Amino acid sequence: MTRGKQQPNSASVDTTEHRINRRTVVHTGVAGAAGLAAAGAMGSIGAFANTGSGSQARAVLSQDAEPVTGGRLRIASTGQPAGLDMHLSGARTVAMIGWNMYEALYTFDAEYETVPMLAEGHEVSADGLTTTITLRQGVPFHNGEMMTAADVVASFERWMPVSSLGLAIEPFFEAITAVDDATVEIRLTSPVAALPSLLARQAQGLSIHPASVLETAGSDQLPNEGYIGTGPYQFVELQADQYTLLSRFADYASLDAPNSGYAGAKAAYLDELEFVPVPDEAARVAGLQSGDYHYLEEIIPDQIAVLGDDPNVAIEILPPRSYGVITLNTAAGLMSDVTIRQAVLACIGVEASGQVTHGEGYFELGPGIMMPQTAWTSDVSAELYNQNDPEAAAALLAEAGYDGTPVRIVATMEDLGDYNAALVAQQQMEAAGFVIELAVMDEATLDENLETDDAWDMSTGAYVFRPDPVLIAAFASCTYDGKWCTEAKRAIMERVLTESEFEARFAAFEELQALWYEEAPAIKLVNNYGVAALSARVRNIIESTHFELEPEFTNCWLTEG
Amino acid sequence: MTAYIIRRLLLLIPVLLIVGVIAFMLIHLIPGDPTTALLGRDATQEQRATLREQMGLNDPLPVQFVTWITDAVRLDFGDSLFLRMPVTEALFDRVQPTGLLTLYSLSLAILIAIPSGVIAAVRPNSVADRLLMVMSISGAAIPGFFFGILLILLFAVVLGWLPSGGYAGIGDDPVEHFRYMVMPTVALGFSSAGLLARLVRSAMLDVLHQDYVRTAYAKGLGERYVVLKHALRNATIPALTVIGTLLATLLGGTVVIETVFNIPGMGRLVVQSVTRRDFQVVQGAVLMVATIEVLVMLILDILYVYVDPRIRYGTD
Repeated sequence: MTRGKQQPNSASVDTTEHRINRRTVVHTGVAGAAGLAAAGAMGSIGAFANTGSGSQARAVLSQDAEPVTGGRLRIASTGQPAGLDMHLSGARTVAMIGWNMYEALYTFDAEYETVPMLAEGHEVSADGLTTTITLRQGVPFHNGEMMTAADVVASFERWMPVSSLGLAIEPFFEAITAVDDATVEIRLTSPVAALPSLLARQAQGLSIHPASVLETAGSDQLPNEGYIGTGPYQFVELQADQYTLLSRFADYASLDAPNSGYAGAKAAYLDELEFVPVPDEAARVAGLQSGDYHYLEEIIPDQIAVLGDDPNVAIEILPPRSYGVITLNTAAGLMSDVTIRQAVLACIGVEASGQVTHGEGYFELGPGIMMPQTAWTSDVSAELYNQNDPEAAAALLAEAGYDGTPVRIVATMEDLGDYNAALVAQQQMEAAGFVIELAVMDEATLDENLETDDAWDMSTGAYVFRPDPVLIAAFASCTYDGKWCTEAKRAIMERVLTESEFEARFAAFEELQALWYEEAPAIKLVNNYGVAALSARVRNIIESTHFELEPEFTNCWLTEG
Repeated sequence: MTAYIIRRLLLLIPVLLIVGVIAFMLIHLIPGDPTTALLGRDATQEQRATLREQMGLNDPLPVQFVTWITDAVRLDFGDSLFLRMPVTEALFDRVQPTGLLTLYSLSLAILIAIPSGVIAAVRPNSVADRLLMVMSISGAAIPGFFFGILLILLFAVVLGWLPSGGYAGIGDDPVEHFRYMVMPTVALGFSSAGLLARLVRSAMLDVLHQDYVRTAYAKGLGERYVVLKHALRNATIPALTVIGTLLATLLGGTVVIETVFNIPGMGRLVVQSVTRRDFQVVQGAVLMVATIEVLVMLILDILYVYVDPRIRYGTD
């Protein structure tokens, strides 16, 4: 077992050839694990250090020590969100907009540790079955009501049956009650160590809304007037396909603690946040260059080259925000044979995939199925990662009695990275003796195919950063793409979820990683660095949020332009 | 003429019915549904299945079709699954940007094409003719989206004179409206102008060699009078047909231009709705565009009568 790598990753980033003011961030890893509270607050440690030109660029971005109040930050998102109901949608854009106006009981600090936000703290009973959460007092909603335990109970009851995170709690859930206005009690049938992490701020997380609003909406989507939370920005208007506008909430009750990741004080320097859906990549980049937008939700490396050395733009290379995967359909067809899956694992060389999907300088290698900046990083079974061994694959195919039945790879060009990864996998597998049938389709068709067990064998995609393995649907669920659901997996994941001590949870997780490489339900490719494309007028943003997950705009400001 | 117009309008009913059936079948027979767009990529299969049931997407197709067509007859196209608003409201919100962009582009195309075509035809094989035709071929050959990106780079990024994309309603802020619409109009109109200019030139050349034109010159009429009064009017008939077709092309062209310039119009809505599998919007939009097309063709047929008195419809 090796945890907490001591050295920067071998694939450190060299970005100087792309831009002068690019900041390179490489993780230094961590030494040792942070202890977890007995309650099982998720433990994770990680630190990023700036190196070389990176530190210089950060200094450039942070040179305005004095915050500037006012202005409207314009963010070019990749698409129009389907409403802003956090409970119902796990879409990234919904999370990016929503968490500026909603808050959760817990959040993640700069070290990815789960810390209170709307909660003041919690206690767990000796048997681990009852968690008593004390709430902060005097926290107003945007509609003027004060947050109480009744609001938390109503939010939880609506959220649990519809959210993938809530569904992870449901099997162990017994009851939630408001003890008094400031206290909530959650009773479980089995200890769930990761409960605070499951209740924390993340995509489709438990955002807290007034009970009065939720009673009206029920399980339907919240109406526009129901987008009410306790966050530093409040909803103003959503014009479909044009913009979503938020404005500063004057009565925001900020925590009296230093800002750290998503945690701590939120100053809300900006008057307004405007999110503009701009689906076309070239249009987003042109808008950034012309000053129409201050931040792009997404930029692909090819477009970074277009920016050249534009002094009005800052490109930030961030720690890994996802890793690529080749998902194998364990439920039916060829890939239900574990030996054939191992043959796929044997023939895949991940470096070529990184080159074509992200380009030199935008990825790193690593066997861990949890991100290297978390305490969960491990190189267990590293010898099975990045084998690039067609002979070994051919031997495994012979052992499995492979008869040349085509492997159906389903892919979409709507995500060029995934598509390119499929092409590379096709080449490498053909070299090992597989017969490949690549089917290209649009995303909605792809999703329908992935739900039909006998329609596909293999697909490419990515797992985005989550600070705890129980938050990754592919691990926590039996019905995620590929349907990896062996007895061994279920037993291990139950331990990851319920063990109370971090060391025990981590040991179980390492077993999960070993099982992942042994059963090969999916093949890990490379860790993909986050890339932030910002106007040079934006200050204090990289430092004040988890940009590699999704940014909050609650502590940044705009200089005069 | 009145009877003809009524007949043509009545013809709309079977046309729209056929278009409606085809639109419904096409969007429902291709795989996929809106659950990914609504729930996000990480949603589990149970979550998708639950939402599908809630939205009635598990009902048999004939049941869904009967429900939709019954409502559509009452001009109720249902609610957008994604935008959570009535389809009619979503479409009408987007008619203005698309309608105005089409109108501006068509006007620009006509303003460029007719003088260019006439000048080129009056002085065939001259320097002006060759120059104008090179420009028109270039206009027809350069894809609108590519031309649009070049315009953005020059006028928004390098010069900073115009916004790179977006839209302002003409009623909200006319000045901003025109600043937003200049580049898309040029990008869309320029390529159409090239095609139209070549057609006007060709039609004018045909007409200028007719006997009646020679007669007009023999009568001692001036060139300007002959060209504009006698020749151009007759050359307008084939041009009108092309302008009608061009309108359909421009409506289609807005799909790409609206994406490049981030204009919240119908074209972009339809493309995104297909991607999101927002069935109701796609069906409603197809019906609306079909109605516009049929009406435009009717107006053109009526215009023929006024341009060429020899054309008569029916008995009146």
